Amino acid sequence: MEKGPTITGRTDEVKMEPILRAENLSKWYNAGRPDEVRAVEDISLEIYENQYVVLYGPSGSGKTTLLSLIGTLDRPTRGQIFLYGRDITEFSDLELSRIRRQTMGFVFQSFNLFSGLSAWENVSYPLIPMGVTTTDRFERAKFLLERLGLGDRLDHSPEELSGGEQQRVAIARALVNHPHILIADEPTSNIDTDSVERLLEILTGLKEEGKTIIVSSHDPVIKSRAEVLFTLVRGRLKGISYGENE
Amino acid sequence: MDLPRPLIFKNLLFAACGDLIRHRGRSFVVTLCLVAILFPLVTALAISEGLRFQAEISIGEGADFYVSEDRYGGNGPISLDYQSKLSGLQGVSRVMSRVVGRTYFVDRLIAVVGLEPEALPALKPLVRGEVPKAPGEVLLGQGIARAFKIQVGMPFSLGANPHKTFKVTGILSPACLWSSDLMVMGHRDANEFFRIKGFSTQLLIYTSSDSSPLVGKPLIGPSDPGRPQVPHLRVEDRYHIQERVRAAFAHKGGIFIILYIIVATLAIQAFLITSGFGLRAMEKEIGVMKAIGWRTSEMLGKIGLECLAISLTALSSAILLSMALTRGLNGILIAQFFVAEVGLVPEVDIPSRYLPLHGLLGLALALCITLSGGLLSAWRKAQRSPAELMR
Repeated sequence: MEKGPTITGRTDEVKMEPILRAENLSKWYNAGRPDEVRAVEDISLEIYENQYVVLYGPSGSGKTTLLSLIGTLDRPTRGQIFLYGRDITEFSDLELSRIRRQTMGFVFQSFNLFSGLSAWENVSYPLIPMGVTTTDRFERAKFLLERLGLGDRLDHSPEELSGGEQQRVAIARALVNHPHILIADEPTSNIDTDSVERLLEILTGLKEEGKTIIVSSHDPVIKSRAEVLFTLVRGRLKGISYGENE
Repeated sequence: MDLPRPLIFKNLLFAACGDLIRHRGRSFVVTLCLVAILFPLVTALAISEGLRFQAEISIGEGADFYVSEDRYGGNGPISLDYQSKLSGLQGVSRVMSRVVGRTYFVDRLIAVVGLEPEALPALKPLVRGEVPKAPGEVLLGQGIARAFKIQVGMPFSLGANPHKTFKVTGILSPACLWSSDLMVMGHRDANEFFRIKGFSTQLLIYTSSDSSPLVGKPLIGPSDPGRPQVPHLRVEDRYHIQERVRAAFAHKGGIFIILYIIVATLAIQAFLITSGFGLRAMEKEIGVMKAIGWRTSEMLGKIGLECLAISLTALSSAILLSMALTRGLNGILIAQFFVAEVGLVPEVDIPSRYLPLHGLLGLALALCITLSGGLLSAWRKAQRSPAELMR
């Protein structure tokens, strides 16, 4: 399985453009100060369409920071990010919002659902500023929640749901805009074992539908399902390996 | 900023209202603070407008011209001889004399008005008791009567002229604030009391409505500017007095509003700086919203609508509370802050008038507060990356 460190996540010889490419990406916090932290240091990688990519590493290895950078949630201190061949590093706030709205869906480690809103309201929240009617928003949220096995939890608020259920609501929210790329940060860290199995099924299903899945995790179960595994140690890319499905 | 299409606007409005309900604790505290800020403004404006309106009614129902003698540039008593002279002017229907002065009723400064006997019966609807008919009979304002526990029929004398004894025949109704500290008596009694026999402090000229300009011209508009016809008389017409009253209220109102806004602004800033109320939760929500695809302009639109909704709610509450206190409870506890010499429990009716303009002023202030507190800080936060906001 091990093929040695390389910057590319593609193994076949057919020339394809990566949908996401990072070049010498670095993220430093408190740069230039005594308490400077180099969370991500000089990472280059490529991610191709419809891959199941796992950023693997121990706590503090920079997985979440790297995920934030390639997910346009944060700006790098150095380096460049290319999405569908376009350098998005210097994109304006508005352009980045458009990317997040149209191309990417996020599942956060602590889910970040809005308390006090029902499951369907949480799922449909990204559609509010897009001028989608309440009826259509409900229908789209209902469809996704039913697909994820939460058809009977539409009106439940996050406080009334288990960790696994909250995560599925968060996945449904990430999918409501039909993104090409689904990004999940430590998806197994706040759920039980049964929910992990279910999560893996969902992610595999989404991959089969054509979505690109990028997951950060230190969980061996997640690691075992990876098509492409980027291993991070202390903010640096230490290796890339390929799963059996690749 | 993108202009929201109607459906986006509707969605944002519903989302804003929903979020206000979702964060009901924070919404309640913010609304409460706004009500506390808006309530004094709304109440002060309403009472001030009520007072001004009452004053204008009084002036409107009064004489067309007020004549007194010029004493070194000020108003001085005018000889009653002028009464017959002025009556002969074209268009004059009636000339009444009136004595107006101030004196102490024990330790309370009161106004004394002496009216001609034929003017007194007109006060009957405003009096509990009888109007004065004989010399020495007076009417007292509600405020004085309550303060000194004076009943109808009681005799009294005043320190300014202890030899003259008065008898109370009636108490003026509390309906008018101006009559609270007022003593009304016959013209002759007032002449004696102030020791100005043969004089009056004012002559009131009534005219037929279309004759006013004709009367005004010979009195105040000399044909030859260098040679005034009646140079030692001071004449003011009703409109002049109305303008002065309006200007005085506008001046006082303006000063109050400026002082109020300065104090309110300082208080608000202090509140925002010291409390930091709900900012952390707001910061995280902004981060999540940005991460799931909301644009900064859309977030600001939603927060702006939240500010509008909360401002309207607070303003409506402040107006309702103010109305309940001024009209339902006659300004109990609060009138003393806006009307001089009125106690915790006002003894007279406190006038109040609520105008749409006051509502707009209150709304503008509420929006300034909420937008500077909500929109500005949200905009500043939205400049940061979603990852930083959610951290």
